[in-house]
Amino acid sequence: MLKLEFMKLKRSYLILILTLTIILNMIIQFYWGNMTYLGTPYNNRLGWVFDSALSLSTYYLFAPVFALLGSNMIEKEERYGTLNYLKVIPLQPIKILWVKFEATFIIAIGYSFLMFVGIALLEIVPHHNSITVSFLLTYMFRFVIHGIGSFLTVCPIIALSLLLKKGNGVSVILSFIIAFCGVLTASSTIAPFYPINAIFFISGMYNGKASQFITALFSLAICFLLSILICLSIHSACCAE
Amino acid sequence: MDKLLICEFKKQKRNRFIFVSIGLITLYLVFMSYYVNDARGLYSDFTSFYKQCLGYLCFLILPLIIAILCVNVFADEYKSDALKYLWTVPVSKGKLVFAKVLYIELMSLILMLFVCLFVIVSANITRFSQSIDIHSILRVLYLCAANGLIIPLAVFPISIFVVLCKGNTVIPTILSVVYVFLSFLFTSPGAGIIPLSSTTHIIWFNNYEGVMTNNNIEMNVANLSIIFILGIVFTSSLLKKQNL
Repeated sequence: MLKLEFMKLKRSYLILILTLTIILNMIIQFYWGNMTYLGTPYNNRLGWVFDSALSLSTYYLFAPVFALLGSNMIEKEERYGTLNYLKVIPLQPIKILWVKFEATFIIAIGYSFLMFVGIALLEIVPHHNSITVSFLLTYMFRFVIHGIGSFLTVCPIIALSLLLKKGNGVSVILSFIIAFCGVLTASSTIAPFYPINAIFFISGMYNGKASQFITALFSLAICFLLSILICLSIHSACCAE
Repeated sequence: MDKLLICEFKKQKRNRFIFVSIGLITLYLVFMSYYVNDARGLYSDFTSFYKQCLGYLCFLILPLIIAILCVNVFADEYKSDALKYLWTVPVSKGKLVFAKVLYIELMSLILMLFVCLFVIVSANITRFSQSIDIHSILRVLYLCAANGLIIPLAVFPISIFVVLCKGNTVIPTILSVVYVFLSFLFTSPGAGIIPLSSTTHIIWFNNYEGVMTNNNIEMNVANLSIIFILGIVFTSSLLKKQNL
C-alpha cells in the first residue's frame, strides 16, 4: 500500500516543487550568509549557514509543507471519490489513514535530508579545510530530527484535515501559525512544552537541562498520541456508517 | 457584475474556510494579546500593542489566508465541471475574474475589520486601556482597512497558477507559502520587486510606529499595480484559451 501511495505521488509535480523549495532555501541562505556585520560575512563562522537554515526551515517551512502533503493525500481520496471505492474492499479505514501517515513520514525524512545536502554544499565550499565528518553527521542528524519533529507536530493537523472539507488550506494556515508562534515562545519558560521549540531541545540546538529534554520528548509524544486518537475516532465513525 | 458578486458569496457560503480562518485569527490574536500583555518591559502603550498584533498578522498570516482563499475560489470552478457549464451561459470571462477579485477584496476587508475590533477590545481589557485615544483607534482602523484592501492585490496573481494547474490546489498552495515566506524574509530588499513586500512599504508609509519603510512609494505602487494588472490579464486570457 505504501508503494501505491508513492506511485500516486510520482504522477504529480509535487516532488519538483519540493526540490524547488530546497533550492530557494539555499539561495536565501547564500544571500544572508554573504551579508556582512562589521565587515565580516555571516557565513565566515563555521556552522552559521546550518544553524540559520535549520531555524528558518523549522519555523517557516517544514510544518506547512508536511501538513499540506499529508492532508492532500487524504483529501485527494475524498475529492476524486476513490475513498468510496476503497471502502468496498476489505480494508480498514484506519489502515488507509496509517499508510498516508507513513508516506508523509518517509517524505519528511527524505525532504529534511535533501535540505541538509543542499545546505551542506553552502557550508562545505567556504570551509572545506576546517569541516569534519563528525560535524557534518551532527547536522545531518539535526536536520532529520527537525524533519521528524515537524512531522509529529503537524500529525494532529493532518488527522483533523479529514474532518474538514477542503482541509488543505486550513491545515497549511494552522501549521504555519503553530510553527511561527514557536518564534515567539522560543525564549519563554514554556519553550520545551511547545512542540516546535521542543524539536530544538531534542536535536541539541538548544542546550537545555535533562528535564527540558524529557519535557520536549513528552510534548512531541502528546502530538502523536493526539493524532492517533483523532484517527481512531474517525475510524470508529467510519465503521458505524 | 453585482449578480456575479452575489453568486460568489452564495457559492462560498457553503465553504467553511472563512469561518475556520476567523477562528485561527482569533486564536492567534488571543495568544498575541496574552504575549504582549505579559512582556511588560517590551511593550508600554497601545501603539506598541497594535503594532505587534498587526505586524506578523499582516506580514504572514493574512497574505497566506487570502492566497489560499484565492486558490479555493478559482479551484472550486473546476470541481464538478462547474466552469464548463458556466461557459454555456453568456458570462464574460473577464467579468467572472473581476467578480472573484471583488469577492476576495471584500472578504479580506471583513477579516481585517474583525481584527480591528478584536485589537481595540483586547487592548481595553489589558493593561493598554490607559493609552487608547480616538486618534490611535482611527489609526488602527486605517491600518486594518489598508491591509485588507491592498494585500489581496499583491496575492491575486496566484490565481494564474490555479488556472494553469486546472484547479489543482496543492501546487498553488505550496507556491503561496513560498511567496509569503519570501516576501516576509525580503521585506526590505524586496520593496519594488516583490509585490507583497511592496505592500508593507505602502501601508506603513510615513508611519510613526517605528516600522522601517522604503520611501520610494511610487516604485512600490507601480510594482504592485503592474503585477496585479498582469495577474488579471493573464488569468482572464488563460481561462479564455483553456480547453476544459
